[in-house]
Amino acid sequence: MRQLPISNLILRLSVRKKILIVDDEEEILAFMARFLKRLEIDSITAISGEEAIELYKKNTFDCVLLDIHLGGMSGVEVLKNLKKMDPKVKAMIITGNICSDLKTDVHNLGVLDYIQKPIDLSDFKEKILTYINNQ
Amino acid sequence: MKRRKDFKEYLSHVAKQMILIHDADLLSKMIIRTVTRTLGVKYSGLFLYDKNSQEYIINVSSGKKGLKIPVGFAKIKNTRPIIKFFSDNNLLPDEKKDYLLDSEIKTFKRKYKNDKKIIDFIYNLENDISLYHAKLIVPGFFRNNLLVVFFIGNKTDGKKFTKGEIDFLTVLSSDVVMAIENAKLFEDTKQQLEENKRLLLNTVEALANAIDVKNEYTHGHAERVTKYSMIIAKYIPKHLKVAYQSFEDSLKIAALLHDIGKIGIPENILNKPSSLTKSEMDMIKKHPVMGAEILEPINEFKIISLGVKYHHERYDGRGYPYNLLGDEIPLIASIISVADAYDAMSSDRPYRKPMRKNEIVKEIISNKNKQFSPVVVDAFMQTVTFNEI
Repeated sequence: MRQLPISNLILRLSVRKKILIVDDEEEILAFMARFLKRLEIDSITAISGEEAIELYKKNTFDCVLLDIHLGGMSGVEVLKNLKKMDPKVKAMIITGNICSDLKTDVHNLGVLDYIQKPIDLSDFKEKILTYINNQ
Repeated sequence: MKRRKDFKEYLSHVAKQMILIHDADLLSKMIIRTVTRTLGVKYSGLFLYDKNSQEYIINVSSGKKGLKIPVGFAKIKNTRPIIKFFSDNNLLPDEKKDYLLDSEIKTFKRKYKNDKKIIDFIYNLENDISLYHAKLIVPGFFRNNLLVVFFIGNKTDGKKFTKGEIDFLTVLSSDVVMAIENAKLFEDTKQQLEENKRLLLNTVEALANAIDVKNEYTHGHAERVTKYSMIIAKYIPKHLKVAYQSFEDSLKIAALLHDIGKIGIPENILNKPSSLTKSEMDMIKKHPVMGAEILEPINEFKIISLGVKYHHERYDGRGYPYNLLGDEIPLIASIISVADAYDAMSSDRPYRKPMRKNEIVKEIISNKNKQFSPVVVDAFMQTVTFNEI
């Protein structure tokens, strides 16, 4: 059965995923947003934990991409706040080094995966697409 | 035509300058900036091999917002096709490996369409190239090992890279590798020197301890004199120190070893609780010279031995063993002299109790221009003001 172009577009819009990117470096936000766009994933960026929480109130996201080392409010705190607002929150943690302390801190907070910096972009692409496609 | 020649000359000039820079990060930054500007590309980045992780990490990148990869943010594993293509000669052995244009992928696909394994590799290679927004990739090898990978994006005018530009980039990339290797070598040598210095200091400290244990009343003396000397030296005007090569290092060793000559003096004299006879006193007074004689054969210890030899001279000429006067006494010895006296006065001795700090300070001030050099007493006074001793 041949679909009408307009319904195609609606279908496309409705399945397009949206990710919240949280990092305190402008350059990383810009790079990640562009990277996700090429994977046909929409994103909104937040430069601080506070901004992330505000944005999360007003939007729905499929996933949060969260740098654990933020200036100001820490990534762990951000995640705790988001969890209170939305018990189903899903996050991918970006971090310089994954220590067991971090894993206990964010235990039960909806962490899908840990991504260690420096990031292998192929790995990252695979991880994010696997998650998005399995939802 | 003229313009292209200019950019080549400019870049080759830059390449020559690079060899002189011993900082690998600064160097790569310069290269990337120059490439981006001179060739007019939207983006370029340099991935540098990291020996520890055996991965290629983004070392520098420049270009439009969103294209630029933040330093240290991304890496490429050495198993990725884009790395393998250059590092593994068994993969696509018939293809040239000095650069790769994204437009060549199409040709590869056609050429190897019947080889399933190779085709898979080529598709993954294509995926890698697009992840890093590359139009042109140029590798840099050092002794057949892939050391750097340049990713170069689209030109802002949308034109293709000319043969001349590509050739030049390959030359530049081998220059970059040489410069980075030079920088590393320089860094390694510096580290080796530091290591040698540390070893030397350990040896010197062991020697100083050997003297210390001989003398039961002065335990820890060498270490304390060294500590005081180093603090005083901080407040000595810079222009007085420049005459010496690495003043602080020499002072440290000299202070640690200032009493090394006592190693030749019998313990019963060193530890005698009652007053010394004239001949015993003469024996003790020989220790600066004996110490200097131990150190002088070591070529690198010339300045250090001065500190040992003259640390009992007095500014007014009434010290020993040579009755040197005023500025005839090397600065290094004058500092040790004050530090030595400070420790002697603040320590417990069989014939007297330790003096209080304010008494010692008074004593040292009253001996300015007499026992002690005025410059060193002034520096000492500052250490007192800032409560550092």
